[in-house]
Amino acid sequence: MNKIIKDACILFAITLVAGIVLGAVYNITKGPIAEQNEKAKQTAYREVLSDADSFEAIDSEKYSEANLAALVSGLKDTEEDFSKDEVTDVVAGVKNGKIVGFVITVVAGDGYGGDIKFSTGISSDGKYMGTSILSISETAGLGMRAKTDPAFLAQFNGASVDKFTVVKDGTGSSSEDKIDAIGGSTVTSKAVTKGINTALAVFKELKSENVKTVGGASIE
Amino acid sequence: MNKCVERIYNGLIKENPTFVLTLGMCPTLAVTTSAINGIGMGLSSTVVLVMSNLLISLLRKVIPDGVRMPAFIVIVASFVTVVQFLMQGYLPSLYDSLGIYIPLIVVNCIILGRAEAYASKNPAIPSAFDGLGMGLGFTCAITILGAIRELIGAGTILSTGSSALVDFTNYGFTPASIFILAPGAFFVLAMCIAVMNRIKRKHGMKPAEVPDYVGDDTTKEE
Repeated sequence: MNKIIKDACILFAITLVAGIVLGAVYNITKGPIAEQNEKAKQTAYREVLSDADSFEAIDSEKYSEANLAALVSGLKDTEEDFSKDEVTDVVAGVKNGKIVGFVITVVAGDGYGGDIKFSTGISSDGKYMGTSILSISETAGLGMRAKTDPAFLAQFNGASVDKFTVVKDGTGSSSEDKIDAIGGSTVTSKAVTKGINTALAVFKELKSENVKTVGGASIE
Repeated sequence: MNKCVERIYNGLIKENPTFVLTLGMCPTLAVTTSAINGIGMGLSSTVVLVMSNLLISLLRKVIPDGVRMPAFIVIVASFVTVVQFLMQGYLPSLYDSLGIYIPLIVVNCIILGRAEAYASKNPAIPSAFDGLGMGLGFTCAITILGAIRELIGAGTILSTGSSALVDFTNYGFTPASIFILAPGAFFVLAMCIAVMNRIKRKHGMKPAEVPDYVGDDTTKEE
């Protein structure tokens, strides 16, 4: 009986020390980690909307984080099925007190290997500016090429369309709303394209409501 | 010092964790889609192996036999979490490239296996070198696996995603995608083990011999 108590006490002591060490390290690194995440976000925003000087939150209840999910479900009545997509962040890119575009972060839930999260920049006149993939877990060498092969995302560049369509017959370059699927990775190509379409739909909504940023900037 | 060299040789060749002990198959099969992945996973595991072996060896007289498993797991998991926090906060670029492997290290049974089989019965310095040898053996093995799979399955050598050292797809090579999918991992692993056994047999060693672990310093417990 004594042995059990002794063993339990030693194990408890080890767990306690481990817990205290973990707590201390967590507290020390909490600040720097948050800082790094914020920096990474800002870098991604800048990458996809280089015209803007700063990025500000949008002044509308509807686009607060809690309501974004509801907004996406509102988009469901379009022909495409957006039900697996989730909008996590919407910020306005501001230059000289005017909104020059929006960066919309979408999680596309129907990638081949799970969620794909990316930020898409759209200028205030509706032109697609760029996409930066934040997290992706597709098959290396296949779906992963959505991130590693710049040729795929480059197809979207500069287009001003309502929605993009994935094609598999290699005719993607014939029209700006057609996107050639990555060979062997139609599921990934479709998931990313649909996510970008979600971003475009959110943009249309923002534009029609003439939203302002918290700082007071409005669409030019 | 001789013992330390012997430990590294042991980990690299004689008891290579992947090709001989076939431990840690889950991360092996999952991450070896490219050589760079293999190096990243291997080196992160090596760091954790060395540190956890060292710590467990230092605590081996304190930890009672009856609760050694939970104690080892607590130590390994806390250690991995601390490394993850520090890397995330202060070395974000390293975290970006290795971050996805870190949670996989906790469940890598090589680490628990070495703690149980070696570190809990031997002094600190040889234990640390045992961890180093095993880690390097694991790194070499999964880098070889990754390089072969990458070469056949994607047609590249040492690709980092956006750029590759050599890209054979530019010279009309059509990659066989199955090699970077899960079945390819089994094919390549089986071939590597076969080659390893063949070489060992040539040198008069028994293939895939898993030795009987007894602490080789002093304290036999039974």
